[in-house]
Amino acid sequence: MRKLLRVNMDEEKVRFEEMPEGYRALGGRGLTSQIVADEVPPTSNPLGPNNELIFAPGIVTGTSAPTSGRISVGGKSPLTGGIKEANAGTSFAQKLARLGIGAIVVEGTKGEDSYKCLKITDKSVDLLDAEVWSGIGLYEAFEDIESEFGEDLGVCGVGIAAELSGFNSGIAFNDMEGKPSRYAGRGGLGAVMATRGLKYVLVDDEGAGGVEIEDEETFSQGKKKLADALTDHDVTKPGGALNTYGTSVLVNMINESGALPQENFSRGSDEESAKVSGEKKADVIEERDGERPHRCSPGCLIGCSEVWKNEDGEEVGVLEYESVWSLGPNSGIYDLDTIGELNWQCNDLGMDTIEAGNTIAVAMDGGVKEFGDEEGALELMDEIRKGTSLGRILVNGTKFTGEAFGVTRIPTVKGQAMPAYDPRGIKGIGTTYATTPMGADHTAGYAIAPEIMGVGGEADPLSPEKAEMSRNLQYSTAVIDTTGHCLFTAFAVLDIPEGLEGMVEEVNGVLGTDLTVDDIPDIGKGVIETERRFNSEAGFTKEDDRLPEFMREEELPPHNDVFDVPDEELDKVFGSLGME
Amino acid sequence: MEIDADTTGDLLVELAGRYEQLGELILASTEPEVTTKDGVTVMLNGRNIRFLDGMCTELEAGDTLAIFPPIGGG
Repeated sequence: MRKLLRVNMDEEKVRFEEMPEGYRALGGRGLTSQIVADEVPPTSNPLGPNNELIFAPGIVTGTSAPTSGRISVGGKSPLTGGIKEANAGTSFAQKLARLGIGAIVVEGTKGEDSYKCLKITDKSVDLLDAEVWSGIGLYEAFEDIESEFGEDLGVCGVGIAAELSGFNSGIAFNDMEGKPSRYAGRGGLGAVMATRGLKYVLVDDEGAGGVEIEDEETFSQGKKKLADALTDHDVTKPGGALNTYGTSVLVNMINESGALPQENFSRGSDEESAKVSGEKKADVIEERDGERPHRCSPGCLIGCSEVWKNEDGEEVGVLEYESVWSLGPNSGIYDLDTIGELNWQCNDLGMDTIEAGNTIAVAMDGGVKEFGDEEGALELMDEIRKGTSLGRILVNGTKFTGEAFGVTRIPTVKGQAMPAYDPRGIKGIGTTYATTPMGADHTAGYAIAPEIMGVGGEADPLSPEKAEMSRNLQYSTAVIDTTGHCLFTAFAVLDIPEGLEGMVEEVNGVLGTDLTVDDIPDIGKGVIETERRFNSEAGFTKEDDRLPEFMREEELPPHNDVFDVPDEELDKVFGSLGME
Repeated sequence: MEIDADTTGDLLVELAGRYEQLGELILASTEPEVTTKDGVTVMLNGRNIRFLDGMCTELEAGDTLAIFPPIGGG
């Protein structure tokens, strides 16, 4: 049975606890959200002494289940003021699970001491002084840590942005090359980690016992069904779109549909965006001897990732669709090298790229720089690095920056910036942005699948009747986030029933449970009910399940749509769930 | 590329006739009706034709048709 590792940063003490019975069938997001709900007062200051930071690998993470190297990180978000789960794909997750650790709970505050590094092995758990790796970029820090401790570790760290207590500081994890490019990015959990006094977590799984599997036969059967679905589905299969071009393959399609936000959500389509498409990027990666396909963690069958190299041949890591869009077209920038450099800066400073790009865009809209000013965007990153007054505004994200500069077109929900799909052109994703407890979050209920891709059904993106679709997607996503599988497995399991059965059988195999696919909605509903209850007690009401005013009134060129999903439809997604 | 056609179905058949390999990639059938392979998306001026008149959607001069293979992302 997995253990819970509690780390008290006030006393600088660690102890293992037996996993409470109510948590034993949980992992990933289901577990982080439950612990946050049980232990963090909803009205607490996210940067204050009563918040906690929770790490939890998924239920099947660390086993041979395909595409399952995911870790959830949870806490109360400084960005949204509500509950947050952020999720990363990294071998760190698998190593932690193999050590038999189901959750790490970090409590307490930094005080006057230097930052600490938590080092976990099969034999010991220690808090080491991390002063020597503080105040520097994460690429250098991860390299120094590798030199010090060896290269086969799971490494997690927070950067300069977190040391500034930035609401947009994320939590970086190692990729397969040991670089800080895999992020539990959204919601400012980096600042929660830093204000606990924790800068790094290292995991060495040498000698680890592995993940206990109650029923090997059921697990193996499920694993095979899921693997077959992943290698069969056109989106996830070897040589499929994700494997060949990565997530940026979406640039051209979303641009064509008129919903690729440009220059701070002021239009949805242009001629320039093809310059930064996934197809174009794949060509440059090949020319520069970068790497594609590539995997974020061992055991992934999809391989959507890549290694982008800049003009000097230095490795940046993956340039995801969201990062390319936010640091690119939404900021009026159409040069992959500039985008790559901006992405490197985000990784090095420890920031979520979606929020950072949106921040740059509203700063441009507010006159701090001009749209398309590539050098100017890089200068803004430098302001953060130096901790200037402007930098301290920028590191707090889109809403904070927009309000500081008198911008009224601020594309946030619950304080979190919108991802790369304009809700005026794709209304189901807008419904998800509005209603997920996470703030504007596309992964929480990826309506793009049925609305644009024709995966998991087909839905007209302009129809405002999206409550049921968003709800169903949000419930099933909460379950996938709990299993530890990558969300991209959903493309296959939404269309191939045996794949979904396989996922459930894997969980049954690990836990010894007897679940079926029919249990998925209730399990997902339970996770979201927990999250909505926390948010309700933190002060959220249904008025927070809304999109910003400008989206209802400003028509989005070229199709000139507005977001016209009625409030009543948004309220139908979850009704009074968790807010009774 | 410019093509003269009255409907989206007519255009796709014309395209397949000019580029056989492309036709094999995107079309499942041309008789008795034009259908695309699973996962292929056809947009007319940015709108998915499934939500217009499908393959009977009429074309006008200057219209833009975009064809996408099965793709996904985040």
